[in-house]
Amino acid sequence: MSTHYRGDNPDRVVLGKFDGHESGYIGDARGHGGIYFDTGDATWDAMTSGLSNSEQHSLAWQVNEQFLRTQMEHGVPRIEYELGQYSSLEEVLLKRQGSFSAKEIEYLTENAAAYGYRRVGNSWVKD
Amino acid sequence: MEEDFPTEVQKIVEPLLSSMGFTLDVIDNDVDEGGRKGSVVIYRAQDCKIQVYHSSREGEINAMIGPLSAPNEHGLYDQSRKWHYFNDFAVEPKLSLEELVDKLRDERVNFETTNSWLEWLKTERIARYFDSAHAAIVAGK
Repeated sequence: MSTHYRGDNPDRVVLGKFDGHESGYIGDARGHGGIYFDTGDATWDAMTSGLSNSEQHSLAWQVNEQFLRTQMEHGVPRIEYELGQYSSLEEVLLKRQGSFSAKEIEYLTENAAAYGYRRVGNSWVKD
Repeated sequence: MEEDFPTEVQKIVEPLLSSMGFTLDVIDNDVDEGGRKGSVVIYRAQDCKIQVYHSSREGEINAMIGPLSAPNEHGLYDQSRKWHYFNDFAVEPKLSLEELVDKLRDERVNFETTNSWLEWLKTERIARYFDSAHAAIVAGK
């Protein structure tokens, strides 16, 4: 499974930098409750076997984008980007252009409003 | 076929770094990213280091600069905070997130292949910001 639910009726999707399974966005969701996306190693290996890094990135982003779209279609109340060491979403975007983190921020900035979300700080909140 | 990231870095970025006085220091093509593998290639000059990394987890290629005392670690997971992105010290106009996304949209095409991403990194990060980043690093900022 790639979509994980932690806590009772988690009402937020947690995004952010990968920093192991005990910290970063996964640690935050596991510690405080939330929905997060993490493709298991076996699934990842099956998905990406024989692909170049560029092809892996492209495929992984398609799956990631589908996760975000599905969550917004289901009307999850809040999507949060955990900033960690960064001061703002703008900093993540400027410093780490092209990364999945940057792509998530770009995707939500460009598409979340169409699903009834507005940005509040580093979160997108369902109206 | 999977390309060898360090080889691509050596082919595309290393000539610029060599011309700036950097020599290859460390290659780690086996950085553990929670079951996946990242890579880092680190260069050293007289007063600072530069690294170019790939992260499978973050789908990212990036470059950082640090003092000689910076650990030989993948910058994304560096706990010392001695490694800095090249534009960490640049003074840029403050834009809203929405304006920034709009401004950077045309650059996305550069991140579609490893080669084009490394070429972009070489010119738009290392060459473009080296002077300001290097000055800050040697000043101990």
